[in-house]
Amino acid sequence: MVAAVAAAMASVTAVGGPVLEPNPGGSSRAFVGVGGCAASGCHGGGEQLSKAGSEFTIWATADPHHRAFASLLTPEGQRMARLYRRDPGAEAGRDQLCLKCHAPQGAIDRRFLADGVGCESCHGPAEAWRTTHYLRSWKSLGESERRSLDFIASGNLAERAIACAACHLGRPGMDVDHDLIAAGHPRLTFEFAAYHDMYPKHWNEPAVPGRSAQMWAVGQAVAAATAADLIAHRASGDRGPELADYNCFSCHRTIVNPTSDSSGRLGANEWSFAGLELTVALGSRYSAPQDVSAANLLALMGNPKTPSRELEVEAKRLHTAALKWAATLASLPPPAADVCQSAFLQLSQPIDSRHWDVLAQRFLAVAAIHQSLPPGNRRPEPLARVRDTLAFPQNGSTRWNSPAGFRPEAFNQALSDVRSSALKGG
Amino acid sequence: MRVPVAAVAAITTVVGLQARDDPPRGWTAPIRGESEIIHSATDCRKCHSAEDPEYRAGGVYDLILPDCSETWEKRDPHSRAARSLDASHPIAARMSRVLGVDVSRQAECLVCHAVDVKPAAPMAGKRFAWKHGVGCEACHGDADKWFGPHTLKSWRQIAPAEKSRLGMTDLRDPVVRTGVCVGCHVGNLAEGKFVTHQMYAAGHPPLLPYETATFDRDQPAHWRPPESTPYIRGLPADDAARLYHHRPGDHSTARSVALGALASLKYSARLTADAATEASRNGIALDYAHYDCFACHHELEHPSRRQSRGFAGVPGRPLMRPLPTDLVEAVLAHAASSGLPDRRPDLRRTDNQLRIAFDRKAFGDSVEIATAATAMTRQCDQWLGDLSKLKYDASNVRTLLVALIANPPQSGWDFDSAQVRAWAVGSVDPTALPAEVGKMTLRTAGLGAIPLASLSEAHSGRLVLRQSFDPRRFNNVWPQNSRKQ
Repeated sequence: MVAAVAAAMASVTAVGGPVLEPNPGGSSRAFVGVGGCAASGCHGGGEQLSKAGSEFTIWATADPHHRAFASLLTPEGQRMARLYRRDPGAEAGRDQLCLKCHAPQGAIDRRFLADGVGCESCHGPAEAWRTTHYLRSWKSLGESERRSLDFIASGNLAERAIACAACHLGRPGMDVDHDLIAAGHPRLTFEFAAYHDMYPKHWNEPAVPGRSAQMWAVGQAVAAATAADLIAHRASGDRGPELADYNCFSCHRTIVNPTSDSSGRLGANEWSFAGLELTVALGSRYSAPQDVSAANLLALMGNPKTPSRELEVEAKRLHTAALKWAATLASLPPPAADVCQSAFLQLSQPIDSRHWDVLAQRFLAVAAIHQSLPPGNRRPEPLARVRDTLAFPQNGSTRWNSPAGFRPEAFNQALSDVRSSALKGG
Repeated sequence: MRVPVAAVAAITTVVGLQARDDPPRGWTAPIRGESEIIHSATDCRKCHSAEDPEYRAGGVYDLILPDCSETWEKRDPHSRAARSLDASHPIAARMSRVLGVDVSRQAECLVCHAVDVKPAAPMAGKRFAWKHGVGCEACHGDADKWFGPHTLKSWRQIAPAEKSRLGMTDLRDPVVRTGVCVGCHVGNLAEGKFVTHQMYAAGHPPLLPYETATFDRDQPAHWRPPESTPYIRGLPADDAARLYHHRPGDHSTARSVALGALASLKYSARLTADAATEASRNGIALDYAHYDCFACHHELEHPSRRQSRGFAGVPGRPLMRPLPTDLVEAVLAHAASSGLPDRRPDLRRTDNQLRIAFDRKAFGDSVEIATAATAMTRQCDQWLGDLSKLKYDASNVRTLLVALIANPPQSGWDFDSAQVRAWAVGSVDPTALPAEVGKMTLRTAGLGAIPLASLSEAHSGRLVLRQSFDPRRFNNVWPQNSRKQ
């Protein structure tokens, strides 16, 4: 259900930024390329795709990351590069900025361009562990020892989210700014639980009750940290406000008979990062503590007169605090069924905002927690109707890429139906 | 059960509107009462509202119209400018509500909707007379020192500079007149006149582009052009020029179009320069109202027409609010064909500098913007000096008309350039415009006849026209091209 939801919306959620680089910590270790992992006896097995040993095969057949480089060579990708670089000869496939996310290994070693986002893009360059990570002795190594060899442990939820967010929200140097978006790049949005649910997994994810609620909360902390890191970085230079930080639709909406009113500072752009404060619904153990609040940064971002230095200081503070909180959240056991049930009822109450971004984040929160309810308590149909109110309408042969004609009232009505259906059912 | 909503509400409080009894940040304290120190329409109408046989016999109407005050009162929207701030007006009520102020008592609103008795004073020290909206003295100047003298016949022989010294604005000069109109219709930061992005967001209707001759005509004019004013026609040529800026044989409307275009650019560029200077002092972006509304305010689409078309500058940068450079380009083409040096390359160079400054980073580099915009105001002054030497006889009116029609904008039509070009052509020769052009552009005539309560719809109709503007179609119906077909 959540998979369908996230796929349909394709561009929902949090905004913003930070941590993994293609070559972590500026490591000088070399990549070996997906070919080095793909031996049929290692990760390239094919008989049973759910079994360990078929990781590469799943990636190569079902995971869109394997097409990440190829997407740069499409006419759309090429046009984007030409518009962005203002150079008719620009090529996305040779542009380091594009390659950092679309071919992290190829960005460093051109031989691996065609790998796209390959194994080592997330797991780290394998030079120092390729020949040892399958030995018995590997199992005795601790996490920090593995790290020192540039092997990224993706078992930890916070680390996993951070790895995704580096490209899916961006980080300094891997920055999808407003210029690039205007040139045609999709806006970056990322909600960990929904993306994780959609992702064609090449590992066996144990079914842990409450896991998607926990992922959602971890994802909010990581998204806040990532966004804050980018905001701090963007504020540190002399580049002026970066429009990609803001809710696209606080400006990009028709002013001829507008259907939605601004609900923030009048006439200012909005950074509509609403998810972190929603974690309060999960109770004191899982809700972001006071110092992890995005409220200050939201207020500073909402005022066009905020000096960039002030923005930078607050963003850096939030970055550090939210990263720490993400690690704490990841170390906790997932929230229990009653906690999820109560959060679900709280979050499915009507919301006093007219911003599509804010409501979409609310929907994703409800959807993630819905996934953590005991199976008998799940009601996917009313939830799908909430999603439908957020869909971008068709506009003849083109498609709106913004919520033209969006009606917050319809969203709230559908959300109330979710709630009453949960209260009625048992 | 309201926990999460409360959390969201907490954010809204931080960034949201402030309480109403406390003037929101950036707004001045409300004005308590109306100033009583001016004459305004109350005194003026005693003489200017109706035909008086004695005045007729005395030759008063050789210069002025008998019913100028009546025209202003009954047909000119300026007379109800202050009433449009009343709570009974739906737009004003909405603006007051969302801004958290009473717009009928805010200096920021009254500067343009009433008579600003102290135009040079800082916002906090301003005084207003609002009973008559934008009354006589809003444009003609504070009458305190000239109210008596101007009724004497000898007043007609006093030079405009001396009248100005006494406070009477020299509105017969199209450059001065344009400066006064542009002050509100575009903005004048030195006088505190500016419609901010916040005001637009709260519901202020969009300002129209400005073209002097059209706005003169459709106000509607409560005066006659000098060539049909008996008193001025009867003056010796030197006196007509010295006292009333008129040279016998001149087509004053054509002259207003040409000089008004330059003046309008000058004062618009000055506004940009002032705003950029202020922004650079504070290290922030210019108010968003200095940018092109529709550069940001459009729905997004996929595939995107903008991306297929390409970008003149850096993609994703807010564009500057269109300055009336295109009309000036056409006027300079006319000047060149009338024997003056061709200044168009100079204009293009400065215009390009300004665009680069706006493109330097998101919202532009304010220091560079100020430099380029200041250079543009100086250029306009220089060209105004050149152009004022031109005589607008039949042949020059013809070159102006040809230049206005035959030089489509270098970078293609946009709504503003199309609008002011069409207005300018229509002012010089109303028969030169195909009806199709009229349908794609706005009318300024008859606004005074629209009931206040229906203005809202009229404004949104304007936005629709603007948003649906199709440059290719406009080019097809533009006289230069439609005649060829």
